[in-house]
Parts: sequence; C-alpha cells; structure tokens
Amino acid sequence: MIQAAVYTLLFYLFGGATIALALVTVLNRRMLRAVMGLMGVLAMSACFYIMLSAEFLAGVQILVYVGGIVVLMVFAIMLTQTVDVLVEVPHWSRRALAGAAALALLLAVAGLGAGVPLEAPAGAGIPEDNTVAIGKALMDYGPRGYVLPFEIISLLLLAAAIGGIVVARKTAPEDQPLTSGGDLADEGLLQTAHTQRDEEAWVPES
Amino acid sequence: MQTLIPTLLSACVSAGWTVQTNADRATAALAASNTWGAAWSILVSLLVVALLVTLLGLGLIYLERKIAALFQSRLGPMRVGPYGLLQTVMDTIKLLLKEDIVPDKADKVLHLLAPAIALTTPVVVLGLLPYGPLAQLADVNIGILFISAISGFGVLGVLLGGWSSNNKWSLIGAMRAGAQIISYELSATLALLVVVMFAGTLSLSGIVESQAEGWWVWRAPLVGLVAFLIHLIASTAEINRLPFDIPEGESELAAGFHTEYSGMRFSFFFLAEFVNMFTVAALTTTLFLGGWMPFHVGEWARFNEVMDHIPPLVWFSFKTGFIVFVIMWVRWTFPRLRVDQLMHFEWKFLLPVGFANLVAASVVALGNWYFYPVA
Amino acid sequence: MAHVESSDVKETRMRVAGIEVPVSIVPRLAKEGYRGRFSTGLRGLLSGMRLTLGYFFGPVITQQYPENRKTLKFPERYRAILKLKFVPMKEAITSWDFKRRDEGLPKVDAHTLRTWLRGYEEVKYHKCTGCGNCEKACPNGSIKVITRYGEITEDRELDRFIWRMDSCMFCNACVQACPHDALEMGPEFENAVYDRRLLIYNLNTQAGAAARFVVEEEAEMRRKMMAPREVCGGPIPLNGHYLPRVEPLQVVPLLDGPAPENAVAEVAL
Repeated sequence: MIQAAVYTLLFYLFGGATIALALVTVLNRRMLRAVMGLMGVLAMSACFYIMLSAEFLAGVQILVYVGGIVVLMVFAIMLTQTVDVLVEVPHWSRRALAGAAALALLLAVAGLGAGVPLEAPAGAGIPEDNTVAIGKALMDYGPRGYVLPFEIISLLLLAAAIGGIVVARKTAPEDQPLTSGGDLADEGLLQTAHTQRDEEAWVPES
Repeated sequence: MQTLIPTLLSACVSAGWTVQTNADRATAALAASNTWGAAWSILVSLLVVALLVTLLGLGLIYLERKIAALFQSRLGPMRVGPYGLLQTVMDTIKLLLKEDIVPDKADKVLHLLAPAIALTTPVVVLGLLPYGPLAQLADVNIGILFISAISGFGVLGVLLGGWSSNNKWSLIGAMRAGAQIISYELSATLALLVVVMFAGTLSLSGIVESQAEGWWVWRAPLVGLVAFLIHLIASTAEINRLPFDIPEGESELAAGFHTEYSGMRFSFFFLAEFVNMFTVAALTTTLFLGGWMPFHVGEWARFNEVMDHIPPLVWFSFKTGFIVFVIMWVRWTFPRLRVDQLMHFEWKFLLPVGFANLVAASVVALGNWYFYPVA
Repeated sequence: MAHVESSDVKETRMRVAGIEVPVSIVPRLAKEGYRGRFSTGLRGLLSGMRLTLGYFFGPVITQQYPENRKTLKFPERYRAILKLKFVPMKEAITSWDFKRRDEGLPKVDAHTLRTWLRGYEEVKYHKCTGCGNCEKACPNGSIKVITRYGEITEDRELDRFIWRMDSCMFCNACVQACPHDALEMGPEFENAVYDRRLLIYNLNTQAGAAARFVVEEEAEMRRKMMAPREVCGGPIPLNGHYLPRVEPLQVVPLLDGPAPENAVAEVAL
C-alpha cells in the first residue's frame, strides 16, 4: 500500500515536471533554454518508462535522445547562432490564436484518449528480463518477430551515414592542398589536385 | 555493520556471493509497509554517496598532486598539515569563499546548469557501482546501459559551460570537448559490449558475479585484453584527461570551457573531473578486472580460498586505485594530442579495432573459448 | 626504417630563377608500413611510461627549506653572493676595540660591531689591488672600486670595494676578469633585507694594499697600512645615476672621528 502511494507520488512528480519542462520548451524565447527543457522532458519520459518496468527502453531513451539527439540540437544551435538573438515577441492576437489552438488540441486528445481502455491486453505480461526479450524479438523471424524492420532500419542508418559523409566531405579546389601540412602530409593522405605544372616543376635538366 | 565481516567470511567459505543492495533493502522495506526502514535505507544511500563524493574529492585531488610530484622528482604539497594532507581541505575552503563571478552577457540559467549537470553525472554513476557484495547502493538491471547513457549526459555539461560563458575560446573548447566525448563514447561502448556478451547480462553485479572463475581481462583470450585497453583509452578521452585534454587545454585555451567559472561553480567542474576519473576507473575495474571479485583462477579451489580471505572491498579499492594510478601515470608521461590527431585516432584506429574486437569476441563467446569456459 | 645511401643521391645542375645551381636530389624515404608504425608507436609509448615510472620511484630532488637549513649542501657552481677572498690573519677585532677605548672614543656595542663586520669576526686581508678589471667587466655597473693613494706602499690601494647586490646578476664576469684571484661567488643566499640601501655592500673589511704586500711587514707596519671599513657603505650611484627616493647612505668613518648622527650604525638589521 505504501508502495502504491509512493508510486502515485512519483507519478505526479514526474508528470508535473514533464508539463513544466514542456512549457519551458515551447514558451522560452532563448533557444538553448528551450533545448534544455526538451532534454528535461525526454529524461522525464525515461523516468516514466522505468516506472512502467521498461528499463531497457529508459536507458536507450537517455542514451539516444538525450545523449545523441539533444546534443545534436545543441551543436546545431551553437554553430548557427549568436548568443543574444531573441525571437521577436509576436502580436497578442497571434498568441491568443496559438493558445486557442493548443487548448483545442488538448481537449481533442483528452477526449479521444478518455475512450481508450488503459488495461494491458490479455496475455501480454512484462517479461522478466526485458532486455533479453527485446533482443529476442528483434532477431525473431517468425510471424511476431521484428527482424525485417530491424534490417530495414539498419539499411536506413547506413544510407544516412553515407549521405552525411558525402555531404560533409571537402573536395580540394584547384592548385590548393586540402590541408596545410602537418604530420598527415607525409602519409599520402594529402589530397592535392595534381596539375600539369606539378609534374613539370622539378624535372632536372640533365 | 557488525555483521558484515562474519557474513563476508561465511560467504567466502560457501563460495557463493549473494549480492544485496541498499535499493533492494529499501524495496523490501516498502513492500513490507515499513516506511521508516525504507526511508532509512534511502537516507543511508544518499549519505554514503555524499560522503564518497567528499572523500573522493579530497583524497583524489591530493593524490593527484602528490603522484604528479613524484613523477616529476619533487614532493608536492608538504606544508599544509603533515605531508600536505590538509591541502585539499584548504583549497576547498578557498574555493567556497571565492566570489562567484558570472560574466555580464552570459546566460545565467545555463551558466548555473552546466556545472550542475557536469557534477550530477558522475555522482549518479557512483550510486550504481558495485563496491562489494553487500556494499552496493542500487543495482539496476540495465546497469551498463544506464551508465553509458548517463555518461552521454555529461557532454551537455561541457557544451553548455562553454556556450554560456559568452567567450569565443570557451566555445572552441566546448565544441572540441563535445566532438571528442561523443566520438570516444562509441569506442568505450563497443568495448563494454564485449563484456556484456561474455557475462550475458547488463547489470553490474551480474557482470561481477560472472567473473567468479577469473577476470575477463585474462579469461577471454586476447579479446578481453584488447577490449580492456580500448575501454581504458576511450574512457580517458571521455573524461578529458591528458593526453586527450584539448578541451581544457591548460596551456592552449586558458582553461577551455571552464575559463569563466570561479568559486563554487568551478569547484563543481573540478570535482566532477576527479569523481569522473574514479567512476571510469571503477567501471573499468568492474567490467574487466572483476570488480570486488577476488583473483580466482577457475578450478584452483585452494588458491581461490586463500584469495577469498582478503575482503572484497579491499580488492575493489586496490584495483580501482591501480587503474587511477595508471590514468595519472599516462597523464604525466604523454604530450597532448592535437584535436585532429584525436579525431583521427578515434575514427580511423580505435573504432575499427573496436569493431573487429567485437566480432572476434562474439566468436569467442559463441564458441565458449574462454580459459575457464562458462557453464 | 629505410635510410638513404650516399650512392642514391644524384648530383646535377638545375636552372632555378634564371641561374644555374648545383643540386643534390635525394630520394624520398620509404614510408613505414602500418604495422611498423604501430609497433614503433607502441614501443615508444611503453618506453615512455617506463621512464616516468623510474622517476616515480627515484629520488626526489626537492629540498625542504628551511627545515634542512643545517644540512644544506650546495653545488660548487651556485652563486648567491660576491665575496672578496680573504687571507686569514690573526688580528682579533677586540684589540681594535680596546684601542678605541684607550683613545677615549665611545665603545661600539657588540651588535653594531657584528653588523659592521657581517660574520667576518677575524680581521682579514684581501687580495685586491684596486686594478678595476672587475668594474670594467661588470655588464651593468654593479661594482665600483674606490682606490686611494697609500703613503707606505706609494702605490694605488683599495679603499672601498662597493658591490651592489640590487643590480648584480651573478654572471661571474668579475670573478673571471680578476687577475689576482681576489673575488669569489659564494652560496650564502639569505640576504633579504627590509631596506634597499642595505643591498649596497662594501666587500672589503680593511682598506689597504693587497695581502701579499702586507704580510711581509711586522705588526706595527701592518696596522699603519690598513684601515678598517664597514659593510654596506658608500653612496655609489648605479651606472652614474642615483636611485630616486633612496637617500645615499652616510659614510661613517670608523677611526677618523666620532660618528655623525645619522650614521649607518643606527640602522637596525
């Protein structure tokens, strides 16, 4: 009984924190503070996952979302912004419209969600070790397995990685070496655009 | 506590280590509606973490200075207290009394948040480490994954610190740190995946218990050693220590991302670095050197019994201390890697080797080719 | 690792910027393979670590001063103060003081005496002839040799050897320049004072001829040839300039009359 009380207390705590941080995310005029709010929301989601006994998902949530995606957003913001660029304050009518839209969305989701039964479907228990269960499900090529989406996602990631490399690769302009020397120059990793002039430069006259 | 030693000794004799953590005790107490017992367990855990952070801060900083001095043929702090033992205490008091200077145009909230994140990260990990069979505070069953995730959290502390200082050079330091940490995170994770494969579980106490026949560093032929080295190198890079401390760059960027911090906030970063060092060393010990598991060699029962007489906490401290010493040794031996050399090392050497090692380790794990095969 | 043989080097002539120049063409060193570089790198890392471990367990070279003050040992070449080399003679300071009492002059107290003679309790004779080589050799004019005409030897004699520790850089040029081996640099480094004027030393305790001219005479003649001088004396400008806001010290004539009111003897040390 005390356990249930503690769980309820924690739920409201995390829930309240999630709402507050989400409000910070959407309402704060400074980008990085908004991103920090987003980080908080994602971390709170991880806490909810732990409360629902999906620990693996919680760990992966923090690892991927907070440690990867939020860091990516922080990098993007830092590389493209100056410190004190504040978003302009919108006119009150636009704010009122936005508030009304948000309220409508909230009511719609609440109304739709109220009709959804919240009990777990029959036969779906929480596996004892959900890491092992998730791993087995990912490799399962039976009818309830997820190996096909897994492989497709890996292909997608491969394409994304290759695309990133292609987009970010530097090509040397004519007559210019790619790096200014240093210890990589001697290893043949220096990509220079070879021109006819280079070939003729030091031919000794004999 | 009075029952600890006899319990340990009886556990030695029966050769079965039963792990019980404080979190278990708290959960059991809650289930039995014993709120005071649960609260007591939680309070003890928090106090132990706080005490550990304090002791680590004071002790490790003093040790770093002394060991650095001995490597340089000098003495280190000797004046404040006998053999300089009170030096860190005085330094702490000094830092606490210093004025907290926040630059005018800096982002106040982020300026405060950055050291908080930087310190929280390793302190959380401290609560998860297995110090002994009865001396673990919490054992999450996704232990390693959680620790990886929390370490990834730490990048944000560095990035925000550099950004919120409103200082070009801090920002450069922060960007380099961010790039470095997220790169070396990969290699570190690959190395610890090797151990997860061997042990068959993500939880830290499970990994330690799986090394009852021998530590993974020698028990898995060659792949364990390679994984250990990769993890050590990558972790040294994760915590921004020489030879990977370009972000702090003491002779390059003033103080890198924590240039604009003074007083209490700087002491957070400073403390975070040393607690991080301990955490990384403890993690390496847990994964590869057996954590609190004594030096057992498979079926040599008499040898194992002899080894069991040394308490697990001593084993853990000794191993972690050794790794901390190696980290400091490396710091005072090698020059700093330039940032492009750093990236080259990670992406073109460490990561391919890590992948190859992972593949080889999976073969070893499948074929059960350990020195003392897993039953 | 590959190396270049001298037979691989080609000597030709080449036309560079319109001029014919002789040129040696050296072939490029073959790049070491990946495995070679890896093993060299690894061996380098490990040998570096072994080196530092050797230093870790090796002796510590720090000396804990001032606890080890009684056992301090310095290398021969350590330079911290300039001294005139003294030929020890057995003239006791007390006989000089008794003489002053006999003549009715006020007795100088023991502290002042010690101050004036700065540890040189025995009257010592110097080897300096006043040639001034050291003064010329000093790069920043920290030495001034004041000479006088000695009636007995009928030649130039050293009156005061002024050495300024506040500008001396301990380069040893004066020691090397002295043709009479009269100077040396010692390791006595505890020379900190609270008054800058006290850094202007008078290195000789006696004014007079060099020791080799004095030792042959008998005691009475010796006393006539030499006159005592105080430590830290003489208003000597640095390179011809006076120090701003630092009053020159008054020279206190010891045996030639009563001391003036603001004499050096009043300065506490």
